[in-house]
Amino acid sequence: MLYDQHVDRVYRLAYRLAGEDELARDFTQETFIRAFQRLKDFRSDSSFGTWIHTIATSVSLNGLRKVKKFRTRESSLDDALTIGAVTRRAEPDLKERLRQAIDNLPEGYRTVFVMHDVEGYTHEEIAAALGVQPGTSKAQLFRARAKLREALADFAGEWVS
Amino acid sequence: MSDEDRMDALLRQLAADEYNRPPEIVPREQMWEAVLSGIGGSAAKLGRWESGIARTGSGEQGAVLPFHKRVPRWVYYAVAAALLLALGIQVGRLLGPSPAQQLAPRTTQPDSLGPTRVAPESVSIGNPRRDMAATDGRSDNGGKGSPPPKGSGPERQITPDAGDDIRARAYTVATAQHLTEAEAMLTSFKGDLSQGRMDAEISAWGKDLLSNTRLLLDSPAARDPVRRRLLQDLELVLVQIVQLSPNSSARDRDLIKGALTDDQVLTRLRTAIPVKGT
Repeated sequence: MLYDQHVDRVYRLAYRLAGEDELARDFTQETFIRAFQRLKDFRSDSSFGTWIHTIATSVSLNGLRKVKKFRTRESSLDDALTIGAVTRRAEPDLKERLRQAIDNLPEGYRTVFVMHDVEGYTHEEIAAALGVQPGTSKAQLFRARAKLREALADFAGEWVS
Repeated sequence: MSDEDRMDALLRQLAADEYNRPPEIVPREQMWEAVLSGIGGSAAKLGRWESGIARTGSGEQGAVLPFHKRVPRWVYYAVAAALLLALGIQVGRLLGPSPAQQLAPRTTQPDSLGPTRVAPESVSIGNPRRDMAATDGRSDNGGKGSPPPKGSGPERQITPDAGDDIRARAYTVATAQHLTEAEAMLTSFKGDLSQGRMDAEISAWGKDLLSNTRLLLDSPAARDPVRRRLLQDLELVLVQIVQLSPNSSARDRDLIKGALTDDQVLTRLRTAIPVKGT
C-alpha cells in the first residue's frame, strides 16, 4: 500500500522541519490527501516516492510559513504585554545553540541541511523535491554548514580537540 | 580530515540525534483516519485509486503508473475502431436487406430470358447443376426444395417464395451465361464454316457446351417453353458440330449451316442473351 510505504519517511521529514508532532501530523496528512487527490496528475517519469516528497516539502514549507507568521504576531503581542520584565536566561548549552542555529538558517539552507545531513536524502532527491538542480542543493548545503560553523564557532575548540 | 570537516561531521551527528527528533513510533493509524476523511472516501475508494497504478520497477522504489497511462494510446484507438466496426455491422444486419432480398430480382421475371440486372459472371456455367445446387443450398429434388434447417439464424430463414425466387434467378443467370458462350462458339464456327475449315478446338468447345446444354434441359431452367425450345435447337446444332470431322462431307456442313439459318438459332441466342450493364 502506498501509504504504508511512504508515511514514515514523510512524517519524519515533516517532524524535522516542523519540530512538533501536531504540525508534523497535519503536514503528513495533507501530503497524502493531496497525493491521492492528484494521482491522475502523477507523471510516470519519476518514482512515486520522489513525487510524494515533492508534495511533502511543499506542504511543510508553506505550512511553516503560515505558522511562523501567526506565531510572530502572537509573540509580538506577548512581548508588548510583558515589556519591562527582563529575565536573565541561562547560557544555552550546545544542543540548544545548535537548534537555534539551524532554526535561524535561511529557509532554503535549512531545508537542504535537514534533508541531507539530518534525514539522509541525496542531492538528487532534494533537487527533485524542491524543484532545483542538484548543484544548487550542494551549494546551499555548503553555505548552511558554513553558517552553522560560524554560529557555533565558540564551541569549535572543544569539539575539534 | 580538516578541522572544518570534523566540525561538520560532529554537527551532522548532533543534529541527527537532537534536532527536532521525531518519535520512534509514527502515528500511522491516526493519520490514516484523517487522510480517509480528508479525501472524503472510504478505504475501498482509496484502494481503487491505488490499484489504478502499477509498479514498473524503475526508480528508487519503483515508478508507478496510473492505469490509463500504462496502456498505450493506440490500444484505445484500436479498441474504439473495433467497437465502431462491430456496431456498424450489427446495425447493418438489423436494418439492411436480408440475403433473400439481396438476391431477389428487382423486376420479377422468374423464367424469362430477357435482360436482367444480374451479371452473368456471378454464376459459373462449368457445372450448372452444381452451381445451382450450391446457390440455393438444395439437392436436385424437382425444384420443390425443402424447408430451411431448424435452428438456423434469421439470415437463413428464407420463405418458400423467396427460395423459389433465388432458384429461378440462379437458373436464369446460369442459362444466360451458357447461351452467351454458345453464341460465341457458334459465331466462331460459322466463320470457320464459311472459310471451309474445321478447328479441332471448336469441336472440343462444342462438347462442353453440349453437356451443359443437356444439363440445363434436365433442370428447371427448361421449364420455360421458349427457353426449352431454344436449348433443344442448340443441342441439335451442337450434336452435329461435335460429330463433324475434317473428313466430313459438304452435305454435313450444309445441314449444320441450314440448322443455324433455318431455325435462326444464332439470332434467337442473341435475343435471349441479356445485355450487359442493363
